Amino acid sequence: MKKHLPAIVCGFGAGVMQIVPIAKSLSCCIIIPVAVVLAIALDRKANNIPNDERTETSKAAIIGVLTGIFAAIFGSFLDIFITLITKNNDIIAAFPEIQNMLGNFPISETIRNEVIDMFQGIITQIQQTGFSAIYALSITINNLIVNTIFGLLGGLVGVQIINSKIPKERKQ
Amino acid sequence: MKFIKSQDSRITYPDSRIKLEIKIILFLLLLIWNSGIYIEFIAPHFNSIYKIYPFVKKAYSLVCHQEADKLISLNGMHTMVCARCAGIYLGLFGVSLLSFFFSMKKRINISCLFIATAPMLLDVIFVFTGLYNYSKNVAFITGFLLGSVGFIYLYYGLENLIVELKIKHKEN
Repeated sequence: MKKHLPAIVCGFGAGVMQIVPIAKSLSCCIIIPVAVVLAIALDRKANNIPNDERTETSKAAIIGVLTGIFAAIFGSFLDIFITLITKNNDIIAAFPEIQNMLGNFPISETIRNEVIDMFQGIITQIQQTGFSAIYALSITINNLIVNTIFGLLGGLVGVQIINSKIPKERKQ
Repeated sequence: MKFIKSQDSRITYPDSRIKLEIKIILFLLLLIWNSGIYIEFIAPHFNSIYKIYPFVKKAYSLVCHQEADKLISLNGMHTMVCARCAGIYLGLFGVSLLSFFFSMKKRINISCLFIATAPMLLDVIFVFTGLYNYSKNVAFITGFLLGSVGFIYLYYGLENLIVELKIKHKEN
């Protein structure tokens, strides 16, 4: 567990930044990659890696994926927890917009009603109990896929930034 | 998998077939990701997409603030991410497409990534400090520049990862 601490810490930070209101308004595609770069730097510190020793890309990729996974776990938990307490979330806020959009586009009445009924069901559940299994599942899957991919990408690019500080003659 | 040795005989890089595979994987991933950004523009042609629309919107909210006045809009339809993020992803996708026609043998120094990031960062700072007003065009162009250069480092990262994994596999 200790060896994954940098990924856990940075993943938690990124998860909070993505979900918690106000911090969320700063949400950006570089949050996860930046968290991964920090996690790689923290990992080097934690393992006392000398400044002139390069970090392997494969290790950075693993740290990146783990940071993404932890960000997704913490982010999903916070999202579900906040929804449970407030009985409100993005889906509810965006529903009038979705209804409006569906009304503007040339789609069949059946599909329009199907989509609206499905989301009305989710919204009713959230407003009454603060929890919807479909919402919770979709959020978790969404977060896992997106954050893991961004974590991996952050690891692949971030390690080049970290290794760029090493003098050339020491690089392999 | 076949690998070729570099001039210093220490680092091995994948042969052209593997390089093509990397390019195809990156191209397809970026195609899917970019298609999601323009889902409102695509949706009228594929009715069933509407069922996943709110989930797609939520997925992109992880990587962008999605402020309504910063989204690219056309005929009442909006992108899923702001102009800056749309620029970054389109830049990544554009260069992934171009990469099929150009060899990426020569490695570019990491400082190019920082140079490409500078206009975007300066734009963010200038808008934030009120030096000038937010412009979708400027945000898109500066994002596009970062995305275009960023792809090169993403490609290098993936190439490094494959090389390392292959070396480890040989050693074992």
